[in-house]
Amino acid sequence: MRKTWLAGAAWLCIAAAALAEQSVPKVEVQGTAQDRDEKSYRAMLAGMDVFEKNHGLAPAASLRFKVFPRRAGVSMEGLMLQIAGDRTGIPVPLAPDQTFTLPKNAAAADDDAMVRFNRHAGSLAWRADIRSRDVPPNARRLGDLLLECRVAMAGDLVAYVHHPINMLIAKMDDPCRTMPINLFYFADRPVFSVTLVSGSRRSILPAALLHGPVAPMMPDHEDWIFLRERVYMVRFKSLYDQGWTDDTLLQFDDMDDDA
Amino acid sequence: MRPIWLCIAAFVLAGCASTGNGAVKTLTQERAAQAIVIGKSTKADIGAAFGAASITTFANGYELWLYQVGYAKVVDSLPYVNLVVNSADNKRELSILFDRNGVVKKYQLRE
Repeated sequence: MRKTWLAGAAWLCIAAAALAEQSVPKVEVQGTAQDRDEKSYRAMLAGMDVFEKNHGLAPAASLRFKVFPRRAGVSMEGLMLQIAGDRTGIPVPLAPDQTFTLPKNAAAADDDAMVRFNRHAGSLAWRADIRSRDVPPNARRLGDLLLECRVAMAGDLVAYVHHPINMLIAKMDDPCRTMPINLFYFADRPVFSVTLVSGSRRSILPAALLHGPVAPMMPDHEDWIFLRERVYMVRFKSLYDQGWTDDTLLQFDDMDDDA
Repeated sequence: MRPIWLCIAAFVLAGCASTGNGAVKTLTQERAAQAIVIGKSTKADIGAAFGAASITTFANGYELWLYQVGYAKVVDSLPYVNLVVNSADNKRELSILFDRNGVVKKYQLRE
């Protein structure tokens, strides 16, 4: 008898839910749903602190953050950003290249606010964007990239599998410089090859460091796969051990350049 | 490390050594230029010359074939193993980019 009653109640709930689904039009109000693509404001402030403490790596650069589409179908048109919390609502201007800076606001930090986009969670890949002046357009500077890595670690920007070992590595003092971690950078265009250049010294980066692993183990937890053709990695420990300096340039040979 | 993990690691690494038919081991820039003609060589030509590659396909329709001497790139997908062993440590590799028509667009022999 009791089982019958429970089954009946369950059926009624399902029927009521189905009816509600049919009769109430769905309206998605951007920026108010619970599953927005967002990062902790406090963590990003920590990333900004790391930038200031390590500014010597890139003295001629300022810190911006940047987002990229993480999945097919994610529109970068109409993208809006705010620092949002129970008592916080601060709009953040977004540049046409999807970069932004954050104001320092103690009240928002106390409110445990989030840096929130009007896109569903998992739509965007977040990175630091640190570019020294006078670097040629199709090149990046090694010190800038190392600082980007440090800011990304402190700011918890990069998506990764939150296994305890990974979390331990991310919380280490300087995993970017001391561990062969895989942080995926995005080149400005699809990349075929990367050459390190410092004065007359040149060295081609292994192709294994381009375009990510062949078969990512948990692709839903990765944020780079959609832009795979632009992806490259930098093994900082190895490069600095070999004597490459902060001013070393990574020169990109694009897929669409003439050979 | 438990014996089972040692066995798994040995099995995986044994299966991940190099790619292709071994021709890249002794390939020189001159011979590469003869074997790979930009704008002309096809996937079939490259496959016949160098064997099966590690292939990455891209959303833009391009495809990259990578021949490695040492560890194959699949090693880089293994969590934690890739912190110790990585195909980026290889000294010699040949990468070939095919355009949307399956013709060589660029190549690079790293030695």
